[in-house]
Amino acid sequence: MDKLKLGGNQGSANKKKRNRRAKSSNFIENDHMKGPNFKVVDKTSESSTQASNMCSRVQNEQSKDNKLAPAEESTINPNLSESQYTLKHKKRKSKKKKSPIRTVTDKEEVSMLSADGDIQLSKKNGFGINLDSSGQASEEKIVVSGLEAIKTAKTKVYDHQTLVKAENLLKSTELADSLTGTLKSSIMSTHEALKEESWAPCTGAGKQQRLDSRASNEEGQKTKAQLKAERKAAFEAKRVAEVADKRMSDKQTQQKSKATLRAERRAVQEAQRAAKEGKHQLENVCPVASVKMQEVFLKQDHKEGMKDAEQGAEFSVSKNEKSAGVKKVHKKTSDDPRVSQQEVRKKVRLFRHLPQYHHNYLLTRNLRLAGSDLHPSIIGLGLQISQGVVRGSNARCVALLTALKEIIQDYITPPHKELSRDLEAKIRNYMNFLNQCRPVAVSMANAVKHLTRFITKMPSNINDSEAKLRLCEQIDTFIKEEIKLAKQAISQNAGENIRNHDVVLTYTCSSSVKGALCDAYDEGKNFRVVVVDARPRLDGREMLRCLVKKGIQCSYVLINAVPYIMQEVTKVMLGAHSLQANGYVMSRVGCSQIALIARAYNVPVLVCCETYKFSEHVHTDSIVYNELADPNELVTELPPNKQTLENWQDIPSLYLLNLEYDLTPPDLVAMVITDIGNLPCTSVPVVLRVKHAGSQEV
Amino acid sequence: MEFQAVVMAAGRGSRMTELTTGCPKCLLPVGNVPMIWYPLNLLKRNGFQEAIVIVPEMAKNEVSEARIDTKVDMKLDIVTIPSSEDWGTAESIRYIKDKIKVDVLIISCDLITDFELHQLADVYRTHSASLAMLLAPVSLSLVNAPAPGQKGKHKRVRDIVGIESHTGRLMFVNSEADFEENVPLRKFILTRHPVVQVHSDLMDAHLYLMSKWLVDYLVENENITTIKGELLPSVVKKQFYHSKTEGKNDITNMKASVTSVDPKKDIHSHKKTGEWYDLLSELSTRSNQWGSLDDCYHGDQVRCYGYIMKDGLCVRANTLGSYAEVNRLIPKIWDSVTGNSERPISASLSRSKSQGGDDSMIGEGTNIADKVTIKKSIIGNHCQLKEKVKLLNCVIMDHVTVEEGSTLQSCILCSNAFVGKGSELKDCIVGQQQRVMDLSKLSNDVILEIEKFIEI
Repeated sequence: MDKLKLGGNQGSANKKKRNRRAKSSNFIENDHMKGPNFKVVDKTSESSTQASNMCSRVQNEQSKDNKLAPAEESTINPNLSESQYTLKHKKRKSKKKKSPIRTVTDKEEVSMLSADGDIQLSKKNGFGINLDSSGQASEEKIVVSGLEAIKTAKTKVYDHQTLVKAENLLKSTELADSLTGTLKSSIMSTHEALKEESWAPCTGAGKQQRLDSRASNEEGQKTKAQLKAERKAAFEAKRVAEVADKRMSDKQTQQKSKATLRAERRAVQEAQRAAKEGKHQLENVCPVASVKMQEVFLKQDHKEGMKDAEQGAEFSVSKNEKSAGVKKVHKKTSDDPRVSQQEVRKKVRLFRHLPQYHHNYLLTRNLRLAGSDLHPSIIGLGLQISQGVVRGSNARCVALLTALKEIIQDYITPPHKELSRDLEAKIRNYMNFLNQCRPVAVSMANAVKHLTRFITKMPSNINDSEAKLRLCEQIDTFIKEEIKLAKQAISQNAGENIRNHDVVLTYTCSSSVKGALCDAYDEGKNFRVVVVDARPRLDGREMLRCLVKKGIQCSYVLINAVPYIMQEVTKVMLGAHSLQANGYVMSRVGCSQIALIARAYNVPVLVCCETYKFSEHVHTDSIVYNELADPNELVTELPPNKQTLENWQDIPSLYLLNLEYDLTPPDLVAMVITDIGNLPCTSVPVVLRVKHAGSQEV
Repeated sequence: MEFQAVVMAAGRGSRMTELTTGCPKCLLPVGNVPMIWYPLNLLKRNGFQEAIVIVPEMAKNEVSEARIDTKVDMKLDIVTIPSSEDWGTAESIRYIKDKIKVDVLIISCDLITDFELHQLADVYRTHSASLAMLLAPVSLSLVNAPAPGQKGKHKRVRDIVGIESHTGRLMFVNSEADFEENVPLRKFILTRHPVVQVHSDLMDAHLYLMSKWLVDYLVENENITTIKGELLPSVVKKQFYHSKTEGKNDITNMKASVTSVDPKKDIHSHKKTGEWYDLLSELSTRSNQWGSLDDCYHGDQVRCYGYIMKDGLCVRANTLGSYAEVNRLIPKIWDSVTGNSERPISASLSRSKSQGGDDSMIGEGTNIADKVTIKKSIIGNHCQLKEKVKLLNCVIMDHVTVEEGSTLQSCILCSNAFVGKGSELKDCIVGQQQRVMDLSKLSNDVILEIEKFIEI
């Protein structure tokens, strides 16, 4: 039944693949549960979350008491049966664990529990999670699986060695060199293995493998001390490999192809991260050793930072070359030495893979004021979005659509070209530009997807003016139905949930929550609102402004006062940037914290989200996919004239991280108020499927 | 196309009449190229393929003869203004209204700068401004540069500019003469914009970005004659006064506002907002002001912005002093203000016994005899410099002859001028086709054809 449900949701071939993986990883999950080392896994992931300081810690809680959540949710939505709920939870769980790596390496995995944290991290490194884009995945798979293989190799080697021996090993450089050899060969071998495995029918073979691995796992049950030693050894080995790899790469940089270079770099990074993980674990176990290690790490960090800069530079260059043909704008901007400098400098470790913030004055530097490839309305929109003049995912989407409408109205099909093809290419180009200004919102991406689908389906026999008219109509209906009317529907649905004498807590500014509260007040309901705000953006002031203007009774606190204020709150209403297919709510950073506190005080959390913002993507933490805002925002709004951190870029030990979004796990959310009714988080796939089917009929 | 470029080259050079008697201002050479080449080059570098150039009718032939369009490789649409009219800049824009289809970039022909236009354009685009202007700190060396042929200092007319420093929003832009003792500022404006910086040391670079509807507004209000003097202050002022008919889409109201003589209402009827503008502003979660219950931008539909140049060079060659000074500077700043364009062909010093430095430019076909000393001077094409001539800080236009043993310091010699043997000139201007007799010693003098001078 599980398979059926998922299969119905997905059409294309690669989605089927994902399905398979989902299923197999589900089994693994069960294995973990039964296996003796389950606790270790849990710890690893916990420490990773601690390191990242993100909300994903609640994952663990979720996996433990996920049976509680459905009951609570089902009281809210009686339409869906309990069995459906558990089913969805399974699915969610499977998605959480799902990644291309799983299928490939589950042979080693169970026996290699210490590496589990690494695997998760490598997922977090931004790859393999976007299941729809199967194209890019293969390369990363090789890298990751290569790593995996190395780890196994190493653990086998060091399985029974003691901690001291491992430390000695670190010093012996000869071994390091030989390890690099194993690294290379293992990359190759796993690459081949991957090719075979990933296409082999998974059900039978996969099970067999898993059985095998489980058996081996049971055989090799170890004492706690052994486990510790093993972990330590693995981590040491990785470091050795890393040192060796550094040397190798120095020597052979010019000989290697671009792909291998990148693979190696990735591998090094993985190893470093893994090392860090290992360190965290060690701290729990042997504090004396960890102090020593910390010293080493400090040195290593320093080196790493320097190397990172180089890598970043290289990386941006290679990226640049890759996209040189297609992205004109991109090439131009990164030609500028200032850009690369700014981008490379000061990358926060866990968020290196995300596009770094850069100032917009470089964006337009090489754009012509007249006769530019980009339509003026797109340039204007890009700047407005990057400057925060247009803010909020709904507003950004409406602004984009109006800009696109303008473009379509001005559009003239070039001779010897087809409208549908040419316009689509143009829009793609525009989206590239916008993506550079600020990563495109899910809402915008969905709207454009909708529009391009319509463009491609346009019959070729109609003339230009007719086609343009239809497109404009399409845009107007989209804005009207998906945004404007959806907003009204949401405020209606939300209004039903606001009762007299309620105290509603809301966080920063969400257009749908704002609308809902205002409408509820207009209906004559008597309630109070607590607006919670957070630095650096202080968007909550805008919310407060609107509510106060309306005459609603408000309190305004900053997020650090939430635990106190939560005692008097009866409902929490949050906006959302997007809702993921696994039910995770992507929203302004801080939302998950609010939800967590609300859970502690047993306050229901309602999320307002239009259905067009539902996303097919699956994320389980805020690291894989996020947006980095201007780090300067964090320091510039300190007391005026006393900007001690003005030159923070020059302080080597200081990194600033200004995150845009975070993810709230579904079991912290009581329900999602959408334009089609009040739903549980987990019904995202259903909604998406229905929508998809609907659009295909059209 | 995002912007259309309009080059204002119809100025008569009222502050340098001595030079413009024989040559239209826009063609006066700066570093051996006509002045107008610099703004055109700037436009070209920013991707403009065509530009509208407004010139006075009497200068049309000369301008087309100068073949500027081939020099900058642009398509120039040269519009002439009837010589019978004494039009201001706004009137010129009104004259070419039919050619204006999109937002305009208006630039003066005497602007020499290394400014990157996109910075101003970004401000304009970001805030969907109605008008954006470039302001540059006045460089004192240029203002106080001694002007040849003038006794006493030229009094500078200052602009008083009020600007909200963190946004760049203009609060008021007026000439010093508009105010008496005090600079008044309305209280409600100050409440909305509590931090206003008032500058008197900024120069209006005469580089504007103007939206199309402002041109329409200009067309309808025929009493506005100049952009700088009248349009700019009034539009900046009207930002803060909202249309009374705003929000009511009553047709009668709309009509009334269009036909109304009161420009206060009128200006807001011109500004068009998009179809989904209301929804957009409703959805936007931006907060841009503290402690105010107003909407975004305080509900202002008309918004004017200024961009203050932080570094770089911005010069207007609109007075004698600045013209002479720019010429002196140009060999040094050539690369930055022209974006590394090729320098005009300069003849090398033919004889080794002559002295000249990098701080000078020498035109094509110029003959330089022995023992000539040239310092900080610009020498035009086809000039004859005889033996033992000494030039310091001089601007010499085409076809000028300087006879043996003359010493010229800080002089401007217009084309076809002749300086006799052994003359000593200091701070002088020699007009077109004028002759300076042998052995004359002059300082701070202007040698012009009297009748012409009076006519101007």
